[in-house]
Amino acid sequence: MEIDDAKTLAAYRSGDLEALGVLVEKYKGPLFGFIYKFSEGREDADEVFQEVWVRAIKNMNRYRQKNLLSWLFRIAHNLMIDRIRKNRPAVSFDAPVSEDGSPLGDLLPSDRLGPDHESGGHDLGVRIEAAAANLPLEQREVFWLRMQGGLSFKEIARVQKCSINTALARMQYAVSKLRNELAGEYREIQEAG
Amino acid sequence: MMNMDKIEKWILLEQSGELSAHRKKILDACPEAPAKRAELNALCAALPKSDAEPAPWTVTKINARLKTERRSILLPARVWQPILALAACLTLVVMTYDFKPDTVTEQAAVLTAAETYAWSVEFDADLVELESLIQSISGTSLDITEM
Repeated sequence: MEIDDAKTLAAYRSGDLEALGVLVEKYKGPLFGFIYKFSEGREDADEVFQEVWVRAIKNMNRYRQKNLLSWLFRIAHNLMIDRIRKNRPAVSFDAPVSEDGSPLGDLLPSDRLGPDHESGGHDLGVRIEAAAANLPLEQREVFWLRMQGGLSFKEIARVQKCSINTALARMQYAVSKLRNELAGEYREIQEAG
Repeated sequence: MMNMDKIEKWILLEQSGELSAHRKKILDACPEAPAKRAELNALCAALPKSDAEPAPWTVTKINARLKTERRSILLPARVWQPILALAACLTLVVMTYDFKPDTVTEQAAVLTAAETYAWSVEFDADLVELESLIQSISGTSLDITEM
């Protein structure tokens, strides 16, 4: 944990209520952005965001990591897993169903990026977001933890409780699937780059 | 010659600042690397910056929730105090009740002993009376207890 974060947290625990505002302000961008990607709207994201902070503060005694943001992401990840388990459908879209281990979601037609959508000429970023929404959960999480949260693969591995190689492979699959799904746009992306 | 899989992984690590200097040198020497690097950078740049922000009253709500939860942790203690007091009273009553039979038993024992003594004294007196009666009838000394 950064020294500043440690000091701010200590100040909060000793009764300075404004110290929490400082931390929330500091990390709200990446954390809320990430939570928002996996929530059902702003209100839902707000609730999860608050729950992450409440849990973080309540369990501060058990906190031993160096990076507060990474720990907050870990809590957010656990919360999301809990929520998904509660609302788990009878057939998981992420469960492998074919011999090559492709999840069911990959075999079904995309509901976000149809030809109508593409021809609508929407913003490229929106199309990438829509394509990313079709990724299997673990890949989608790695993608947004890296792109939105700015976490390193070491930190992502800690959040997902997997090896760095697994986190890297998930990101690779995610980028590869986006490349396939956005074949036309990818040229546009490269030209823009 | 590096395969494409490795190049992609190393570029991802390079972008996150986790690639060692030694590996970076190897990657830089790879002819496919610049195109892959540009592709990833372009993808990152094309992603819209998230403008989603938590509600302005979020901190107030978090503080309120923490305060409530702290209070809800203390509340059971407040509820438990009278319960504990009641339990203490009950324990006292039970203990007192538990001791009472002993006292009664002791008292009963004392009473029984006294009654036994009283009965023995009366019996002795009766025996003496009976003995003297037999003696007066028969004119011989007789120890009735030897009968």
